[in-house]
Amino acid sequence: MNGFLQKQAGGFYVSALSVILAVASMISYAVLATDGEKTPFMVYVLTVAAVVITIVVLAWNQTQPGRKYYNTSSFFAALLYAVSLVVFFMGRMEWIGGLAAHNANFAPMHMSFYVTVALYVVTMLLSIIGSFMKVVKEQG
Amino acid sequence: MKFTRRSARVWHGLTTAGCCLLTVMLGGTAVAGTLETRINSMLGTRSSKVVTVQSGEEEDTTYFKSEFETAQELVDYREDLNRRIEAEGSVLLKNENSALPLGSDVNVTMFGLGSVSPVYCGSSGGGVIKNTDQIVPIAKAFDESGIHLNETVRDWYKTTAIPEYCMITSTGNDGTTTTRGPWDNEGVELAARSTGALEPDASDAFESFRGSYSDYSDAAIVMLCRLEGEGSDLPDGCLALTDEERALIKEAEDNFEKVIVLLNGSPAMEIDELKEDPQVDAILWIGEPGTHGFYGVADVLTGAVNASGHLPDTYAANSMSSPAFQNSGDFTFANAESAGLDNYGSYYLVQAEGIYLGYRYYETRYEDCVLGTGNAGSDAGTFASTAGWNYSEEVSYGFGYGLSYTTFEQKLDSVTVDEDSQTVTATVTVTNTGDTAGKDAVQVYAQSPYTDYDKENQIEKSSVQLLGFDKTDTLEPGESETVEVSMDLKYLASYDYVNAKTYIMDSGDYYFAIGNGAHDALNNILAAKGMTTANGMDYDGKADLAYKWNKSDMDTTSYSLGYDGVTKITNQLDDADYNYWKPGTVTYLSRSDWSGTWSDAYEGLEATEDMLPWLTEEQYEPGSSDTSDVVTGSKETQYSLITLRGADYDDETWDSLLNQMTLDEMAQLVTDACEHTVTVDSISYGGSLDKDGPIGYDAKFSTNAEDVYHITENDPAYIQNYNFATMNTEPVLAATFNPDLAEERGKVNGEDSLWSGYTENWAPGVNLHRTPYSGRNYEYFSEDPMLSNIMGTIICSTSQKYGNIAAPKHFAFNDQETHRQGVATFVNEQAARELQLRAFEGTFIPDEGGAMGTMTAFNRIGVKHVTYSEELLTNILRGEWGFEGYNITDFAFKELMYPYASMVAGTNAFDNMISDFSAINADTLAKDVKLLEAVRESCHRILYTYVNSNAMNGVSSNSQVVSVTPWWKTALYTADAVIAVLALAGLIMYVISFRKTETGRERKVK
Repeated sequence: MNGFLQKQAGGFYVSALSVILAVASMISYAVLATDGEKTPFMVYVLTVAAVVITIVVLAWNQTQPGRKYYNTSSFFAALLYAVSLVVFFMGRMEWIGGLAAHNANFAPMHMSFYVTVALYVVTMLLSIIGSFMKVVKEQG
Repeated sequence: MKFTRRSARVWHGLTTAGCCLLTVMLGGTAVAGTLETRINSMLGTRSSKVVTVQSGEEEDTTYFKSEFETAQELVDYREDLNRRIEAEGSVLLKNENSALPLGSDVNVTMFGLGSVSPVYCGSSGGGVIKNTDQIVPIAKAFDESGIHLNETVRDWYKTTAIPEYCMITSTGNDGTTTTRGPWDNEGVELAARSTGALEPDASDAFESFRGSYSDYSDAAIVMLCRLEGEGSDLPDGCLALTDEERALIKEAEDNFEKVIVLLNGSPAMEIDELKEDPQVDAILWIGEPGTHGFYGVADVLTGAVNASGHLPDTYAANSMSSPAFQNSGDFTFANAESAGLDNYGSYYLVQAEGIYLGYRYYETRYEDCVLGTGNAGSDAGTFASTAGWNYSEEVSYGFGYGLSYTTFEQKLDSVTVDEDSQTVTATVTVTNTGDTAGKDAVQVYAQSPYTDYDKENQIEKSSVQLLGFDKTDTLEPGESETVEVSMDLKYLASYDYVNAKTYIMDSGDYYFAIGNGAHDALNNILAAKGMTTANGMDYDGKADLAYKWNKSDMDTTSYSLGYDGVTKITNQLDDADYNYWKPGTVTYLSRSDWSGTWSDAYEGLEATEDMLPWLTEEQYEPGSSDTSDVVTGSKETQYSLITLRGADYDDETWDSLLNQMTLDEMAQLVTDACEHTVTVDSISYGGSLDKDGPIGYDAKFSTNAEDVYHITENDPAYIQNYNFATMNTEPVLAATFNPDLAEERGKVNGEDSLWSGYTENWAPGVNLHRTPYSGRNYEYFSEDPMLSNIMGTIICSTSQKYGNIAAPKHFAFNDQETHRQGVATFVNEQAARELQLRAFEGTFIPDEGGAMGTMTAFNRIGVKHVTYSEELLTNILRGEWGFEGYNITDFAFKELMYPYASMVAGTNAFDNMISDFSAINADTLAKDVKLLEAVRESCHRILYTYVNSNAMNGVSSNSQVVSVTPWWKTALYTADAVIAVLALAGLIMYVISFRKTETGRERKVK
């Protein structure tokens, strides 16, 4: 195990963290969905796809060190998270419209909306950071 | 350029970042496009404009004109009015040893957190000053007025007390976000406080203060502050003095000859100990002064302006002693959980006090004590009395009370009752008998007979009720002025909900009296009845200040018709009484037996089976009915909305115009109405911007060059950033008892509307102060319906002369903030009509206030939410009162304000854009004729309102609506393009670097 961890570069850890946060984002999204407003299912699909891509490519990197490859999983994952965020927003556009109202703080599910948005944004940012980094140290 | 694997990773990362940003930006642009009208409302921009095609004829399209040439003139007028309202609204409650006025150029020591962080306004909602840079801090206003404050003491509060004890309330969009200190001194000066009592313990610092006292010894001023905010009531008991506040007063008493207490905030505090304290020389209530109000406070303190305000609420010795308080707060249906009631349906409120709200309770019980009737002197409801209920011990200062630096003599010259015109006119001569110039308020109160018929039919009568008022001009010593107060007799009629089921005027003796407040007037009435201190009165009244009028026959018809003289007024709110659902449960407070009808609290009531559907289910299901008779999207006519400016509501052309609207346009007009109305292309309506604002529009000057009134970039920064939410809160205006100031306040709303470009203003707040703890009292005038009615009516009628749409709120029964979103408010119809509804009535009646808008409340009336109470919105508001405009919900929730039920019951527009309100759409409208007709009627109401408003300024019969791109949209598009280019560049560089590095690596390997 120690050997495995020692050969991992920063990109591995950042990507792994993004996977954890992506799962947390989905859970938060599911909680938010209970208020009966529009919560498109496509967000789950996109998030799961991003998670799967990240995990598969991270695993592939372990078996193919030194190949001409630069952690492109982070690129696709980050993009999928960005699209998830947009789809999420588009589905709740009318609710978001209410945020501009004078007493929007009384809207239901106020907090869970912000938590979900924050989680998705952080997940996306981690994937972006990961795209600057190597996954395993043997990579050039 | 050298390419390495590291540089390839960098380009890879940058490409990822760029593509993600582009995705988010494109999504954001799409979201912003959908929310375009909402964003426009926030930023004051528009996506359409009205273009007038020149027809060769000059047409004056400025239908509503400003009286000001420049924005600066308006700002100067507003700030001066703010000061004058404060000066006349500050109420002098105590002034021993001529402690006040102080005179000018005095050095004083001010104690309390309020010396650096006073309450300028409410903490959230519509009563918040949005641009704190406009606030003139208390020290600056005082210093410029000749009151110099001890900075040693203030410095302690700034450096030590504020960071620990005060929370600055943000003035952001929702007005509620809070942050903690420390802050720099400038921030501290402008800080808003947390709600409730907040005074820090300064006793350890007193020693360090004392060296500075000698230089600031003209007086000690102790600030006692209480702040309210939307969304929650004040904590029980927080209106009593705290130990920390008592310590300040003692320190002041121990070290100063003269001690003055300022009461800063709307809620009526418990100040009996200050009243009785001989070392407290003066007490001055100042409410929430607004941005420039402390100049007005200083004017009263120095004597530049004589005190002339009168209390808008009763100051009870114990702030929790009213019968209303016993049944306020948190009450949950006993079966809420088992019945599956959600957060919007679980709570209730029983207004068991009936009509005995505020002074109506204390004064009526006092009279019954004097008359020895109704077990008035029993222990029931005793909070401050030592042996049986005693007025003098229970009440510190009564409603309408206030002192002056001079003395006045009021003489009741005549009272003329004209039943044919249903008016009563009191003529009063006021003489300044003192040696200081000043104004005096003339308050006219009335008493109706409490008859056997009343007792048999559960009709209650207050011993005294305000019917009208006016104020003199400034009278020099020895000068007199005769004031004529004309009042409407209908506001004296009683509502008989048991037998006649309409308004009645009993037979018997009626009294009209003047006095310094309700208690003084009642004592004058009692004197006219032959009562004296020997009967238990606290002082002898003056019989010549009361007038007795005898009505020989009971009248059950003259007051039973609505505004038009045709519509029959009859019971509408039977089901608002809990007894309707479960007879015999609630006993309303009655002066026939104070002891037997006193309620400590109605806890544990159940939501009956019959109630549950109202609390849980949408009450109207749109069905499949033929809508083909309703014409939509017609091309037969091509009227512009402006064509109907000035046309009657029933003008036939309206049908043709409404026929032009598509289903989509109709649905959008009624559901997408948060702080705006949308553009309607088919009728060339350019839409409107609307805002909240009991202390003034939450808006800035228009910078749109196409608006008739706007500012330019050449105007100074102060004007550029000026926000109109600046004025004193409504209780201060009420305390002036000056209709002229209310008129000026209405003028400000109208002018603000013209200069901001925002048409409707959700104000004034006209709900009542049911208890001193109601969190939103700062947005409402008073505990008295007629003070609220008259002030609100004048503001509405005046502001609309400038094309503003006045929208009194929150219609109706917003009597507490606890569980306000859905609390089932149970009340009997007499109390409903003579209190809450009476406060609103004048604001809407066409010949009185004529308000063309209103915002409905969050609460239910009975178990029906007010938005789907057809009885309230249609039968009373429109039928009885003749309301001609349109109503809008408060911030809308589908679980509470069932969209379909609300629309068919009389709601006209929803204050939001939550998805469930878009359930009212073209598809549903096409399938349900009742819903479609309701939406069409709402469009008619909305359009009729706006076509006769200043939203039409600049629009002519030759005008067309054309699309324009607001600046923020241009900025978004530009940002999208730039990011797309950068992302593409990053991708290209990544590909190049990747290929180069891999090619080099392969060569190296070979």
